[in-house]
Amino acid sequence: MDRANSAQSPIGEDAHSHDAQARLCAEAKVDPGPAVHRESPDLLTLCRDLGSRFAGRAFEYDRAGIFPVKNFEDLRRAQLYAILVPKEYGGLGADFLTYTKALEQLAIGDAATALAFNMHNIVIGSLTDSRLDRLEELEGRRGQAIKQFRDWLFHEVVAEGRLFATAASEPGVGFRLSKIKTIYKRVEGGFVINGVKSFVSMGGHADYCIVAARCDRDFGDIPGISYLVIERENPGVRIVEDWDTLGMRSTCSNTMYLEDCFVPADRLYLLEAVALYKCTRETHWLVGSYNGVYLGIASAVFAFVKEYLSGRTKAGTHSPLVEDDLVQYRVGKMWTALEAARAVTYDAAQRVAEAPGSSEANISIHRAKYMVSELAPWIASEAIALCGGSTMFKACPLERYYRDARCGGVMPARSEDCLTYVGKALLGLDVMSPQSSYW
Amino acid sequence: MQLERELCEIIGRQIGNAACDDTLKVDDNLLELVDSIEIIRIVSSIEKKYGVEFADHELNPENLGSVRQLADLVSRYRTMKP
Repeated sequence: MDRANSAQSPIGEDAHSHDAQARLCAEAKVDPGPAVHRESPDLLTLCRDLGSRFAGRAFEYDRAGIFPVKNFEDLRRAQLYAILVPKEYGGLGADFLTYTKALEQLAIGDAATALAFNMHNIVIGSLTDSRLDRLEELEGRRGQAIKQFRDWLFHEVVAEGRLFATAASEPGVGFRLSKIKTIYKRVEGGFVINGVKSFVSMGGHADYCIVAARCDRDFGDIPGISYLVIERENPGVRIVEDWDTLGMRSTCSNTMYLEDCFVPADRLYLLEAVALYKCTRETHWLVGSYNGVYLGIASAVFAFVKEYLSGRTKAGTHSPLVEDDLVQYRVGKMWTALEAARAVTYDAAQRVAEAPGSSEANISIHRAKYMVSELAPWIASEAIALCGGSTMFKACPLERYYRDARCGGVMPARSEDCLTYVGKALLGLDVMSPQSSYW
Repeated sequence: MQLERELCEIIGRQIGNAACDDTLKVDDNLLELVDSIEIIRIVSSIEKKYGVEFADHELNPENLGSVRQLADLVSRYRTMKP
């Protein structure tokens, strides 16, 4: 990696000490170019361009485990915070398929940025799934309150460029919403929350956080889980920056402590105590929205392999690597698996776009989640085996792809939960009730 | 029960079930079928038809889970009306 490129690829001095290895690695070229803005030819081209830019910063952000501030500034300036907000409300109006593809393009550049960005979009997408046009028919106080919430949320995203995070998991409980211990109670004017949330991507960086909390009283068999919107500056919120992990390092998925945290009544996300029903009725946001991220990692791996092999010869010979049968076999196997997962992921996303919450969409989403979560680490491992030891160096992006890829299978729904869900559904068993779910 | 049948019709129209008695039973869990905004629309329709206004804390799974539970809620509020 020559010094002329070092300004574009922030690898720094360490990489120059591994010049030979670094040159072997297909680090993405970074062309700063003109400011990326929403008037790019189409949304996917915009995201691909941004992904290329993110690739040039990914090493530094990953190595330091710091929040990718510049990447999010680029996303905000490109008005991508509003990617899911309907056009009639000033957003880009992407449907679930377009969104999945857009996320894939961003993840090809930097998966951690794409994954963190997805947590913002879970908040927006969960709202836009509903027939917002039908809100206009609502009369009275209740209708007004919902419309005000919608207008506020969209204004914050579209006009103010605010970022939303999601806080659901907890220490010792993981993602199982029915088991969370963060409690809220009704008080004059709103709610008070106490508890601890873990894996809060963008914790301490996002402007708002949607927090999953359990009502202090029961509603029959199903715990009453609600979502409450909390501002970053809320005095009852304390972030501990304890995120130091194998992969997805710059998601900054820190721990959040909520201590007598007051939330105004109008910051209740729609309806109280029904979050578990939402999880099981419409699985795509919490389970499948980041399928594009892991598909993007797998795509980046394959692109790396092709470029790496091109022009290289077997050690000690003039024989091109690409003419080796075993190399051809392994490349063919990787590509076939990649395209199979891509087809399944896009199919699932299309089903969601057409009929969110349908049984076909829910089953497809779980199938896709399983396939991309297993594909990404497999293909990264295969790539390292094929390309050899030079790709293990930190300077090589494949090393980061490998680590990031491993995270997919432990994010909800885990791979085993996905297969169990699909099996249950295919066998005609109940997958719609919270009691039957993995939540 | 008359109230349950009426509610079934209202809800059926809202969620597009023309034959409420075939596709929506009084004990089916509404929260498994429709999202929060549809629930709020349903509640608003019911409040308007029966001239009641439920307290916010009443809008929870115990009262919204089924037509039967909604009917109980409506009956209770109608009884409370002066």
